[in-house]
Amino acid sequence: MAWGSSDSRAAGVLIAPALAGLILFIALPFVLAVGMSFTNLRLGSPLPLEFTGLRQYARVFADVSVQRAFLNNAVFALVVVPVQTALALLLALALNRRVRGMVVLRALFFLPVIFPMSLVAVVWILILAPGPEGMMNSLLSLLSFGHWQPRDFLHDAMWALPAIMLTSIWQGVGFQMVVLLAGLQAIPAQLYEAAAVDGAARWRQFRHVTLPQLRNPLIFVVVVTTILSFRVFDQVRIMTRGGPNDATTTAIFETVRSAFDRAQLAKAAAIAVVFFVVVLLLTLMQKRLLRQQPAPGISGTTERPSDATC
Amino acid sequence: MAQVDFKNVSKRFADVNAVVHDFSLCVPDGELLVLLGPSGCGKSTTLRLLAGLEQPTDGEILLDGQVVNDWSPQRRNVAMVFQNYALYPHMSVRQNLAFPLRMRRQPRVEIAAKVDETARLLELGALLERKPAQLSGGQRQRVAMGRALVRDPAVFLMDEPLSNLDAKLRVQLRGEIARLQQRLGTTTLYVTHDQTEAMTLGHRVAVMQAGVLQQLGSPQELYDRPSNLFVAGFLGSPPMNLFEAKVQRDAQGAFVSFGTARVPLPTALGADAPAYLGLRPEALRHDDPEGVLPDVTLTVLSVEPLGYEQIVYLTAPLAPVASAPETEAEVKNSVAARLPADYPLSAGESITLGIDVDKVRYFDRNGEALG
Repeated sequence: MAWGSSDSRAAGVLIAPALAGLILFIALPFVLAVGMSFTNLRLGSPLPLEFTGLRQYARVFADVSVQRAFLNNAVFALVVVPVQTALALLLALALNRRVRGMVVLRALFFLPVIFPMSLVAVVWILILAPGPEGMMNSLLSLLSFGHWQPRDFLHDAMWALPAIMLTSIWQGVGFQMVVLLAGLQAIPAQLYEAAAVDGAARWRQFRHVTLPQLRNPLIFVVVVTTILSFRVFDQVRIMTRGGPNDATTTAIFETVRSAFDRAQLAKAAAIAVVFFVVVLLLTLMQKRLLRQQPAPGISGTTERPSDATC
Repeated sequence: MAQVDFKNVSKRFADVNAVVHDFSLCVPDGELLVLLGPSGCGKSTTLRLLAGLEQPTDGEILLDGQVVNDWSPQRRNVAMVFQNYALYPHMSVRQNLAFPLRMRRQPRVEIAAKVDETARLLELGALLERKPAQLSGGQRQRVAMGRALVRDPAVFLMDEPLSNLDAKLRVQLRGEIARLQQRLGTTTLYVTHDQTEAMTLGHRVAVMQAGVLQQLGSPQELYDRPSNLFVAGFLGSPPMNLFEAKVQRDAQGAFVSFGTARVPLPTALGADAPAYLGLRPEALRHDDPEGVLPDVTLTVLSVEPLGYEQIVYLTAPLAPVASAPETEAEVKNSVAARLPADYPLSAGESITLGIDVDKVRYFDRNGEALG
């Protein structure tokens, strides 16, 4: 479409506000952050602003807390992504039935998703309260017939990160479940019938029909959850403040801590840029994975003969 | 190879009336039986009952004399071709063909050999590595057929396998299915609403309506001697002309007046008084110069030229059967005649036709055939 036609002029006018917002609040700050990361900028510092090249990046990569943050993010992703996805798939399979009241169950499992993370975090602080009176401690005590020693989960270097993972999974699994449920419901029932007649029992129908048909929703869920696991912040800020001893610190938490607790704006910008690159790589991975196969559907409905010229 | 028996099979869904009602049928080994009927008549459900995809509410389904009601579809060794093929979209043609064999844990070498053999049989060789989305409708249909016959099933089930294809392809594949079935000799149940498919493919045809088997017989039997008004009005294009008949008597015996024509009742009817009379469009003849046949003069309402013949709609001298199915607007209150195309007719003209009394069918008050 050539510029100057009335359609494209109208289109230009219509997207202008959104575009302006995007440039003003996303693109510009990011460019500034990249610029800042090559300086020694600190809030309230008397030293003159200098171009310092890659020194901030060197500092970032040498910083034990930042290293720990990215490591925590990676561990968090490696545990939460598979566990949450598998759990969401199980829930979706269990809830993908035409039974009365199923809508209510689905809504219940989805409910945590609409709660703000800050609220969820506060609730889980109460659940994870130390001492035998804490809900989680008393539950574990009950399940282990009294063999469980009460712990202060959020102040225990070994238990703090798993506790945050648990909170995140509880809050996030409903969203993935809904995505996978939609994927399940898009699978034509006839494929299962064909598979049954072809001799495939339940498990093999799952392996040869359900899983391949869920490929794209699963990739979507995995990638989104991975990105979200690198973005973890609210839970950490509210539940542990990165502690104890950096056991639960994350990339975003380190960025915020550098910028606002220590006024090291340039360093915070450098962490943010590294973080951006990591997330970008993950997104590119998603695109590559998705492109390998066109969206599946029942073969009879897409009328696309092989010799079509369009 | 197998014989299929339905014994008083009924299927009811929840609160709805029976979809299949007291259905009994025996399909001997090697037969191609067509289940024919309008949509919603229960023919697909019957097929799904045999596949094990539905459970009968009553009655027994037998494969080779064994009751299979409780058998899962996996165990029944029947193969099914679905209306929209139901190919596995994420698998190549080769993988689709191999799937039923893999599910039966056959050795790899054997699978490869059978897939190649089936591909050759159906001329799919060049398409083996393609995905279903890259195939045309006809090619997909062939793959679906291949997936069904790759494993030598006991019974072949085909649920309207050609209805998603264009007319030309349908005729071509119809012929292929007939040849394949003849060559393999596999017992086949074929569901369709297309009477041409039923007539050309079926060794026997079972006509269904509202879940009830109406008539079972060879295509020619069904056409010549429909067992009731439904079958008479369903088969044929245009279908049989059906009228209410008033029986009269004179010195020569019982007869029905069709306009000026005196149509004598066959003695075979005995004491049964017919309530309805049926005339195939070809039972009205114009080639009766000697006047052997009782003749009637009717006015032409409209003409449908078909090249080698013409369908002529004429004013009906009797009241047509109100509930005759498949009655097109144009046919209402008219009688259709199939005449050679060699002389032109136009609306408003009068024409004198002889009635082939041997081809007139009679039905009782309940719509059942007499004689």
